[in-house]
Amino acid sequence: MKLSRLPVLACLCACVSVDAIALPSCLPGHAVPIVVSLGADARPKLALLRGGASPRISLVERETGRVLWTASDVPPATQQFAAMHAGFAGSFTVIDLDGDGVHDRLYAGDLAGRLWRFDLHQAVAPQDWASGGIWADFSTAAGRGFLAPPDVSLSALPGQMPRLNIAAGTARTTDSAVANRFYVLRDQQPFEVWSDADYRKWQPLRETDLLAIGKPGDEAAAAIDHGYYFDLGTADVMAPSLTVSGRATLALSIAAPDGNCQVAVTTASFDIDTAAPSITHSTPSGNEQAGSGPVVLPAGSGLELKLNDAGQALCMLGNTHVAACDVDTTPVQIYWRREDAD
Amino acid sequence: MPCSPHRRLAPRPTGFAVVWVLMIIAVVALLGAGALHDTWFAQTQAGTQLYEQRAWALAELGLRAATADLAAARDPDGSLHELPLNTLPVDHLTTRIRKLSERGLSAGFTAGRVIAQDFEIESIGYSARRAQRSLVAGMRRQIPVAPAP
Repeated sequence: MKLSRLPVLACLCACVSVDAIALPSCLPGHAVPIVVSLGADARPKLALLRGGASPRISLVERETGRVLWTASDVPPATQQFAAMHAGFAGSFTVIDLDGDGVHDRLYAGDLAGRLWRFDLHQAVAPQDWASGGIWADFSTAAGRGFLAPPDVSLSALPGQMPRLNIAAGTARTTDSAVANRFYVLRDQQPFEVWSDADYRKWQPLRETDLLAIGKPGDEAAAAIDHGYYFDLGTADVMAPSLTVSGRATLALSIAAPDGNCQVAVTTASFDIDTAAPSITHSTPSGNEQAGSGPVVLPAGSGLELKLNDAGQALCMLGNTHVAACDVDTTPVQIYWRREDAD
Repeated sequence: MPCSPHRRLAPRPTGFAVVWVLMIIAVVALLGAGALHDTWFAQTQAGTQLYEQRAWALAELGLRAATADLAAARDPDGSLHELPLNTLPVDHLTTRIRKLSERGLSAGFTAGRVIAQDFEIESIGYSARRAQRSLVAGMRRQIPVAPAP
């Protein structure tokens, strides 16, 4: 798939060159910061993860710009993954699972609509840094892929094993409108490190493995095993969703970017574990644009959390307040004891 | 009246009356002293309990004040704070907020966008007669992370 087919190329915005491939600057294709521990020098170092056409993924040292690692389906690449025939446009989310300050999991969505899962190893040679493969394959419909980074959140419900919810939505990758979908997938083995052999054995999740939400009678939370999805119509997901207190809010671009890379964005909010209540689209409120419909923003703009002077974290879409994803920063008591109990 | 050479003298009183009286006095004195001691002890204990309750109340007050401080402070320094009080001069109160951990993967929140910070608040209330009560509370809060430049 050629990136030149991306509709946002119709924008007249400036482009940035990334490894001989031109990505529109209005795309959510920015480099993703990552902390790695590579090679004999096991000290953590700050790097940037970038998507592209060739190589598909590259890792460069942030300070020097030196290429540390690349991945593609064909040489030259530090690591080759046979199925990596589609490019990436910045749909990367890195996770530090063990809290040691070094990222050890990568979820990446490609432009063919496939979601990759990589385990990142520490203090190893670059050619052994990542073990991974396609974790979910939604490439059945042409013309749509993942542009926005997946929204990864831990779910630790009482009586259930912890799991990761991976939420990602598709966007058009051609000029013609497509039926986009939003997927919430469950990684039931969030803390297990898989080898390449494990990934080869893994059968990628497909839509037939998931629960389709939004149809009558389908909203049974107990039936959600591997995850669920729902239709977005022609709305594109160009920015990551945001999960706050178990509730996901996503910003949907409801029209293709115009000549100034501006898109109309609206929001939807739902419980990420149960998908309940039913998917509802809401209009952001809270400022002069309240009630006046979708917010017009640069393509790729998403929900941001901003701390105000009162210590509250307000969820903002541009200058518009979206109360559904506000973060309550109030300290909550989790235990209590007397030190001098007699 | 003729004097009888065989006039018998009145018998001298015999027995333990004095001893009994002395013993009774001693017992009464002991009982009085005991009662006095009990009263004094009860009074002392009541006073001590009162001060311990004051220390307890101060420690609870310190927990609330430190929780409010934590809500307002982005990054508490972990130092010992003495809170000013408008009570008895013998009362005082210290609090300390320690940061325990910070986790980028907090249940229910987007990883990397919101972090969970765990703190421990120690509040010690002091009053007269060495009354001291110490309370410890674990606190958790969610804080958004600024996006990397």
